[in-house]
Amino acid sequence: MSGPLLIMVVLLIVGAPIVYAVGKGSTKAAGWLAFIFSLISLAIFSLSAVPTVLKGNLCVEKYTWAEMFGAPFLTFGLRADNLSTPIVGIILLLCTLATLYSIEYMSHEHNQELYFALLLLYIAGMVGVVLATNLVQFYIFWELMLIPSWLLIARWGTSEKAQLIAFKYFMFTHLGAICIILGIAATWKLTATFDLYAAEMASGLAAAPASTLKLIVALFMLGFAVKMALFPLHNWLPDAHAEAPTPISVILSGVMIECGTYAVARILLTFFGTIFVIYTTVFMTIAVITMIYGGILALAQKDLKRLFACSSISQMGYMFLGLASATTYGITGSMFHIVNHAICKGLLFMVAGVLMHQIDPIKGRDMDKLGGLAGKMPVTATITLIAGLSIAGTPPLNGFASEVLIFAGAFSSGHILLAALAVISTVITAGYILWMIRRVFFGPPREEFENVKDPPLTMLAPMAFLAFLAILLGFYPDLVLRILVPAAEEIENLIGG
Amino acid sequence: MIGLNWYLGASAILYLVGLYCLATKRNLIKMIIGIEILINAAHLNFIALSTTAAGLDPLARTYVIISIGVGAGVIALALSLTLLVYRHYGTLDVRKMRRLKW
Amino acid sequence: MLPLAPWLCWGIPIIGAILTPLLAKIGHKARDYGAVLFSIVGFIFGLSMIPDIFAGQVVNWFTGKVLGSIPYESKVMWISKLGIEMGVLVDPLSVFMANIAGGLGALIMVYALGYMHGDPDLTRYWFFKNFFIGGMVLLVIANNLLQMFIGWEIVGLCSYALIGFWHKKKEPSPVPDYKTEGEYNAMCGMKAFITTRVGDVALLIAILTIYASTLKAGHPTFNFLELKEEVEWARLLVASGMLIPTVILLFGGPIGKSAQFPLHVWLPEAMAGPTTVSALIHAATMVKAGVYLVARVLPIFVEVFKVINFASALYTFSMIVACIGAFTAFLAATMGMVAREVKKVLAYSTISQIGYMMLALGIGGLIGYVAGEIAEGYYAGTFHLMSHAVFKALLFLSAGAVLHATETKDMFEMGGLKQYMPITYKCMLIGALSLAGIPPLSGFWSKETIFDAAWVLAHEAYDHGYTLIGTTGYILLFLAVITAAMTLFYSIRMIAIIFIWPESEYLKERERKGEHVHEAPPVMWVPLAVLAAVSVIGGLFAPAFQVFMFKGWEGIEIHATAEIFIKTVASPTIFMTLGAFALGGIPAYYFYWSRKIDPGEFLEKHGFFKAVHSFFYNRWYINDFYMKVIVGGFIRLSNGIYKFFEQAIIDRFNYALAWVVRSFSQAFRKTHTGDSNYNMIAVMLGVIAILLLLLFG
Repeated sequence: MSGPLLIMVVLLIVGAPIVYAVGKGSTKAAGWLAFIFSLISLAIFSLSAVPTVLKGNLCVEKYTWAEMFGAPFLTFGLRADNLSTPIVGIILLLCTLATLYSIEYMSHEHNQELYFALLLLYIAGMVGVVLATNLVQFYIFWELMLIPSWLLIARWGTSEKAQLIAFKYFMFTHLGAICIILGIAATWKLTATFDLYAAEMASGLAAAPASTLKLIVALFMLGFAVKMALFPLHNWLPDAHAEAPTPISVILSGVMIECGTYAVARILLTFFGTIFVIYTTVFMTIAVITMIYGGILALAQKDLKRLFACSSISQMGYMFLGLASATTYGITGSMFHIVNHAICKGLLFMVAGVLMHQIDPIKGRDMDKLGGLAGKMPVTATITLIAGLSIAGTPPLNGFASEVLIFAGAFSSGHILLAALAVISTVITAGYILWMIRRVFFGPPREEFENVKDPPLTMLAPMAFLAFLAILLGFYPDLVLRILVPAAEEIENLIGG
Repeated sequence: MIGLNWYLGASAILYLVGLYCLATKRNLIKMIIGIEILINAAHLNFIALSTTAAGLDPLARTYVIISIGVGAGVIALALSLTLLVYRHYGTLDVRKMRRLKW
Repeated sequence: MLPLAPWLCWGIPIIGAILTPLLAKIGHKARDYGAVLFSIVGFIFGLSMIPDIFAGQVVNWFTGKVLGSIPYESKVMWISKLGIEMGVLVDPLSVFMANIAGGLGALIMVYALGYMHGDPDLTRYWFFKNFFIGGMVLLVIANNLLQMFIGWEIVGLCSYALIGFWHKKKEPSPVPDYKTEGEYNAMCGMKAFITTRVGDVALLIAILTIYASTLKAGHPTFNFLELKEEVEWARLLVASGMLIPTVILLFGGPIGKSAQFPLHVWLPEAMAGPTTVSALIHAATMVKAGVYLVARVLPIFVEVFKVINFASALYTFSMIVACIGAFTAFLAATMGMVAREVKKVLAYSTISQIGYMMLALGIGGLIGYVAGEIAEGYYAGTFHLMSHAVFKALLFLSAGAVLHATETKDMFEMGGLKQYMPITYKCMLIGALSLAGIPPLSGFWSKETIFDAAWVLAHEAYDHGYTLIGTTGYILLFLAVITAAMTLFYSIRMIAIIFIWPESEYLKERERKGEHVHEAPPVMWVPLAVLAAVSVIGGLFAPAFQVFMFKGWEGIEIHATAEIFIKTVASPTIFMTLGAFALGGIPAYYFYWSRKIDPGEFLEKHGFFKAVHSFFYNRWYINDFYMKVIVGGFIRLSNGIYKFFEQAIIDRFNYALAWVVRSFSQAFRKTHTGDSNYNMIAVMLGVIAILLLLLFG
């Protein structure tokens, strides 16, 4: 007996070898088949979980993996509730669009069948992480996210040092994962269960001494902080995101690092909330430092993809600020910012890919060699402006709504000085975004760009759709917020009431 | 009768002799004899400890006999391996067989 | 009012903006006339709200139903679960500003039909223009701080896009840092955005602090009327010592958006945009958004701080507003006296005049602190806002006509245009004299009320025993009067150089090539004439304006026009004004009008004036300071951090860590000798260790 969520995850995992086999015959088919698989997953999810959650119910599935002495011993579950549904939705949406984008973008690369197979596994990993209810299952999917992406960066990365960069990325994330597994083991010791929603979990944690809980929170936080690239564990991100193949950068920056944010909200805030809030000041300080540091790094970059990667570091600081403030506004803002950042940063990386594809893979990302492209690629320029201004937090785009909520949360948590510093850092964001747009698109066009034009439809259509979403969510953020706010309120009540 | 401690002491000495042989000797055949001495030390230990004033413990002695039999098989295998090694390396010097090193 | 007028007066221009690309597909005429039509329709909706203000209640013209009394709100849920709403507020201030924005917007759109004719990027132009008008009206008619901030940012966005509108121009750039004029224009847009962003950040901090305080008080709200009613939020802020910092930060937004010192540096660069953009955004509307915000919050502050008994916040706020306003007025006027480009003169003039408005509102707040009544200053500020909007738009549009005809920005390359462009000359002269405050033009009445308010402040302060405030009042009045002298000086200078001076070499060259200077087409000079007419008779509307603005206030006496005239002319400040006219007018006449003394020679002869001239010309070196020290410094800092921290320390740390691990394993693998004897020794040692552990562990 299996529910739609399980079918969705299994489809993605099983789809990988199918795509590989089909791809050995025809590479074009591999790409389109991968796109169809992820589109079907998106459709399954939208048709099953989204209406249920909108009505106010949860969509939970529980399965038994192994039994011992007649009782379920290893269980795993897939839970689509107010917190996870928007995240899974945007993961599937962005990944589907990135797959469509890859078809044209990667059309000249080697071993495309392997690429698309790994892509499907990667998507499965992310979806599994967000839907997981069991800590071991969470860990398995966490690593399932890591391994395909490591391979993707190593084999199709754009620098000669791609394998080294992939290795560094792997080691950082894996060391973080080790901290997570230690935390999971410690939690098991306290509660004798891995299932987050079992009764023993709540009772075991309530009875545990505070020092053990603090240790567990620290271990989990270390693992999630590596994934989220918080200062000072951010060093892997600029290299990995800049040198990954562009559609993978889209997914890496857009949704994968946000899985760390989601994990903090789901595991730490919900179950270890009372301990988490003890360290609010520390966490908010780290968040603000990350915001400012990421922005400062972005200002110093000349390479377009590296600038976007450093911008992602800064944006993760925003998200962590909202979570660290542990208020309804902040948590809602963070989760909404996951959706918005996925849309806008994914869009920006797609733009970088467009420039590399239409102009030159090396010169197309060096801002010193660009300029005046607005006349040649008007649609791309408009889309970049929409995405960039959203990241800079300009109404009426979606970035403004989530940022205002995050800042409202920060202010209502009482840490006025930190919140003020956070708001001031938006000047830095506006600075590097506008400077980037100016260097790339404005000014008179150069002669070598005579024949440059807008990208083909399979690359342009995903971008246009994402830009449309950015505007839609800016005017009507309630579409997503009415799902997120109850989840955030529930968390705030759990923490301190 | 001779006291238990003498047997245990003898067994210990045999054990140390076997270890010394393994640790120091270069010749493979000598190392195999060293293994034999180690095994005999263990046998002696078993026999000594299974002799009490009330009688013998048959189980322990049975184990020893089985072990002697198994030991014979082990030595046979070891010696045949030594033959092959000699054919391959041309020497029985264990310090020259370093393929499994860093 | 027409049904849904408060929503449609900004909704229709925004819909028009969104439809512009579609209309462009149909054809150029459809797009151009369509865009202008949308803005005019929006303005009509805005106009329809005026009778309701006079009546004191809102009536739906179609159904005849009375919807409510002034102030009237209409709300819709935006973020339902958090109770954050979107809404509009119909009250005198918002309807007043909405009509200024809508009216001038529509007029300038009509003018742009002629001015921007033939430009290849007109679709983008109409889009941002309409979006701007919608955003500006949204800003002023919003009923809560968050929505006002949304409108605030929208107009900032449109300003950025429109300043850098001509970013493709290939001509050489006017400054050496950029290769082409297009790049320079794009930089100007970015400078405007970032500088105002600094102010916006302060404003956002203030808004969110207030919101967090209302949340703590139990009634989370951004709404203006609710903030005035419930004062618990203010009490909580006083308790945490945050009230005064918050109100100061709130003023940070107006400092940025309204180009006051120290964030005034973006407005002169903003002149790189088309003149219609400068007229609408940077003279008539967007820069007034800050004045609007101060005028909006001032009554709230007065009311709330009185109830919680913390009037010193009102004092601090008003003092800062007034002083910054007066200083900015003085500062900008000095720069306007020496500028070479006509649009730059007008830009500095705008900064200066907005300084006057801030001064007036600040004085209003101070009089409120001292004597409990803010009406004097409030009226002076808002009246000057309206009067300035009209004559500054007039000046910019006339300048546009001149620029269009002569194709140069530099005033010294014009000259002798009086005979070629008589209509433009007369309109611009009216605008300039109104700016300078010459009676009986509207500028005179509005400026006099400001001086009057300062005089009243000084006297009321001394009467009630506040000597510091009283002295400050006199100082502010003095600064204002000196600025008025300078205003007259640069106004006369500008008109004279453009129209009265003999034709320049540049123009003669153009004549030879066959490009004659001609009068503007009717689509351009009709708006000029309309604005000039309003500027002439504007003063007559003072009592109607007073009735309008103070609808719903208690204790305001409305005087008839004749009374106001007599009061203004007979007040003590009239002598100061006349003195200012003399001080500014006489040198200007000799230097520029009658040309008895040549300004160039005069500067050469008197070194002191030359030094002062150079100081003013370099914008008091404030702009250079910002660019070199703050912006340049920050970029150097970020490059430095990237090179010397991120790459040197963090990267090296990671590689060092990897090196340590690798060397350790390189060293450790040497224990695997492959020699069986050593392995046995290790086994022995292991056995001994286990034995010891078992024995003693």
